[in-house]
Amino acid sequence: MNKNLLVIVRTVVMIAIAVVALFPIYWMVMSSFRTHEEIFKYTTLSPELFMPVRWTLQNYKDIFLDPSKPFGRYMLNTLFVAAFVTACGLVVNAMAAFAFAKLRFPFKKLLLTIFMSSLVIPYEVIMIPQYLLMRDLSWINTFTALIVPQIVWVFGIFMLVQFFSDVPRDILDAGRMDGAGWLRIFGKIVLPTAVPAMITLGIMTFLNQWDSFLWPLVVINEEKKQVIQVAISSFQSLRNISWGKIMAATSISSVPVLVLFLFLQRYYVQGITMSGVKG
Amino acid sequence: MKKSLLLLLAILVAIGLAACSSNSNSSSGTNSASGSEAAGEPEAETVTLSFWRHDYAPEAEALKKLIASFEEKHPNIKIDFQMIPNDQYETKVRTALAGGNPPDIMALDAPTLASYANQEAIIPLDDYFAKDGNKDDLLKPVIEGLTFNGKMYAAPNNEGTIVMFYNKKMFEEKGIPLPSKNVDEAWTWDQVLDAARKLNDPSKGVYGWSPTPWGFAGHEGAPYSEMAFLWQAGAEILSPDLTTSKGYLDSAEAKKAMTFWKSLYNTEKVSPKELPQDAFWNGKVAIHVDGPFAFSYQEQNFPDFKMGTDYDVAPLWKDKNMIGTTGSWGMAITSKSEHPDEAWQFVNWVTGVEGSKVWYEETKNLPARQSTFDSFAELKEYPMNIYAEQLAKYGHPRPVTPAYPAISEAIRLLFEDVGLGNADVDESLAKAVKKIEDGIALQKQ
Repeated sequence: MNKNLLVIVRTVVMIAIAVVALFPIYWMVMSSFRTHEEIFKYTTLSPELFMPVRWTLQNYKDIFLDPSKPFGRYMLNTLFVAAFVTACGLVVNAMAAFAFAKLRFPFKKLLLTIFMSSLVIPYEVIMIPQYLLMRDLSWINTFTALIVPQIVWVFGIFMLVQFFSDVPRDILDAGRMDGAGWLRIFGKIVLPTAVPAMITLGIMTFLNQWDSFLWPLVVINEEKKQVIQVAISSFQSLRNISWGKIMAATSISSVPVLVLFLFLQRYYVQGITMSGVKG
Repeated sequence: MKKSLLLLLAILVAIGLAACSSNSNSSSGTNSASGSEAAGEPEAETVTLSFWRHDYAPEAEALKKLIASFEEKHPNIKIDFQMIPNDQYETKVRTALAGGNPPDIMALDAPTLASYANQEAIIPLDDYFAKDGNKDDLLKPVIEGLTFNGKMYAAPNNEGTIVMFYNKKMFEEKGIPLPSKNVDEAWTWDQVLDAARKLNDPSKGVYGWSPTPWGFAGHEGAPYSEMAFLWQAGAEILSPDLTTSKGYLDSAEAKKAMTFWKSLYNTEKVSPKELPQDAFWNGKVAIHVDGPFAFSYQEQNFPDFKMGTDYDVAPLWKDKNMIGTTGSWGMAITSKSEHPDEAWQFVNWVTGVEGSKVWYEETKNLPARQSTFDSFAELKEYPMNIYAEQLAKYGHPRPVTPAYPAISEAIRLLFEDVGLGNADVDESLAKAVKKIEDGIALQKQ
C-alpha cells in the first residue's frame, strides 16, 4: 500500500517535470503551424491555446521557398561545418588529452594550466583578434574560418583528460612492453575504452557548432554560405518579428540534434556517469 | 561500430578538405578586372561595391529593385548586397571596421553616424551633395540629423517619426471622444491618460496605453519613443553644445516627465510592464504608438483589423511642447572604400530624387525629400499627412554626438528603471546623467 503510493507520487512528479520540459517544445511546434495572427491571440486557458485553429504549412513554405534565404542550404552548411568540426575536434582533442594525461614531457603542468586558464576568457574578448587573424590568413568569408578555429576546444580536452587519467598506467606499460608505440596504444587500448566519453564530447561539440551564431555572423559575408542560427535571427528584424517563421525554423533546426541525441543517448548517459563516478 | 565510425570520420575529413580548398579563394575582393571589351579604358574595369544593411524584408525588396536598375544603367558597377540580422548589425559592422575590412557602403541609423564619423570610419559627402546630390531638396530635420561637425556624413533613405494609434471600437464602446486628426490639436498627456484609465480593463487583459511601440525592448526602438517624453515636458538631454547633460537631463522638467512615466506603470497601471506580442493588433492595448511601417505590417499580418473601423491614427501626444522624435536610416561610404566615386553614384541612385520616389512606393516610409512629398498625393491625405505634418512642424532629431551609443543606453535604462522597476526618479536621473557624462568623457580621450 505504502509502496504503491510512493510509486504513484513518483510517477506524478516525473510526469510533471516531463510536462514542464516538453511543453515549450510542444508549443513551438504547434505555433509553427499557426498563422502569425493566431500565435499570440489566445492567452486564456482554452483548446485554442493548445491547438492551432487554422492549421497552416505557410510558415514552412515561407522559410524553404524563399530564394533569397535558402533555408535548406543553410541547414546543409551548418551540418557540414558541425560534422567537420566534430570529427576533427574528436581526433585532435583526444590526442591532446591523452598526451596531457599519460605522457611525460617538460612543462606539462604549466602548459596544461595555461590551457585551462584560457577557459575563463570570454569569447567576446578574443573575437576581434581572431577576426584579424582570419583576415591575415584571408580566410574571411570561407568555411575554413568557421572550422579551423573551432577544432581545438579546451573544455573538451579538459573533459577527456579527466577520463584518460583513470585508465590504469599498468595497461599502458603492458602495451609498451609488448612493443606498441604511443600511437598504437592510443588507438588500440585507450580509445576503445573511451567510446562513451568520445560520444559525449562529440554530441556536445556538434550541438555547440549547430548553435553557433556570433562567429559565423562576423566572418561570413555571403548569404549562401551563412549558417542556420544567423538565418533564424534574420527573421527578427528592426520593426517586426516573424514569429511563425522563427517557430518553423527552430522546429526544423531541432530535428538533427534530437535525432543525433536519440541514437547516441545511451552512450551519452554512460559517458557522464563514468567520468563522474570513477576516480 | 568502431570501424564504420572511423570510415565516417575519414569520409568527412576528405569531403571537408576538398570543400575548404575550393572555397578559400572566394574571399571578398572589391575589385575584379574584366576589361577585355573597351581596351585599356579605365571605365571598362568592373567595380564591385559591397553594401551592408540590416535585414528588413520590405526594404530589402525595394533595395533589390534599385540595385537591379542601377546595375542596368551602370554595367561596369556591381553591387554585392548583404543583409545582416538587425540584432547584431552593429557588432558585425564594428568588427569589420576594427579588422580594416568594412564594406564600401554601409547603412546606419542617424544617431550612430557621429560615432562612425568621429572615428573617421566614414567620409563626408558634402562635395558629392554639392555636385549632384540635390541637398536643397532634403528636409531640414533630416540634414540636421545627419550632420556632424558641420559636415554631412550620410544620405537618407527616408525620414521617420511616430504617431498615436488608437483602437476605435474600444473608444466608441466607452463613449470616449476620438482624438483630433489635426497635428496642432494633439491630445495632452492628461487627456491620453484620462482615456487610458477608462479603457484599461485588467480583467480582460486590456491595457489602456502602451507609450512605446515595442515595450521595454533592448534596442533603439525604446529610447526613440521615450526621448519624446523628455522633450515634450520641456527637458533636454544635452546642453546645446552637446558637451554635458548635467543641468539638462536632471532638470525639473525631466523629473516631471519621469514622474509621469513612473505613474503610468506603477500607480495608474494603465501601461503594460510586459507588453504582449502584437498587443495593439490583438486588441490588448487601446492606445499605441507606431511608425508608418505599421500599416503594411497590419495589412500583412492582421488583414481583418482595419483602419477606419478597428483603429485610427492621430498625432502624437504633447505636454508643454508638441514634439515627435525623428530620424531613420541612411547610407554612408566608408573611408576604406577604394571606389568612393562609384559608391556615391550608387548612394545617389538610391537616395536621390528619383530613387526616393521608388523607395517611397515600395516601402511607404516617410520621405526625406520635398520632391517626393510633392509627387505623391497620398502623402497629403490621411493617414500619411499626420506623419508628414508632424514631422515638418514638430520633428526633433536625436542628438548627433559620438557619445550617442551611451546616451541611447542611458535613456533606455532610465525609463526601464523608473517604469519597470518603480525606481526613485531623482536617483535614476542622476545615474543616467553619470552614464552620459562617462560616455562623453570617453569620447574626449
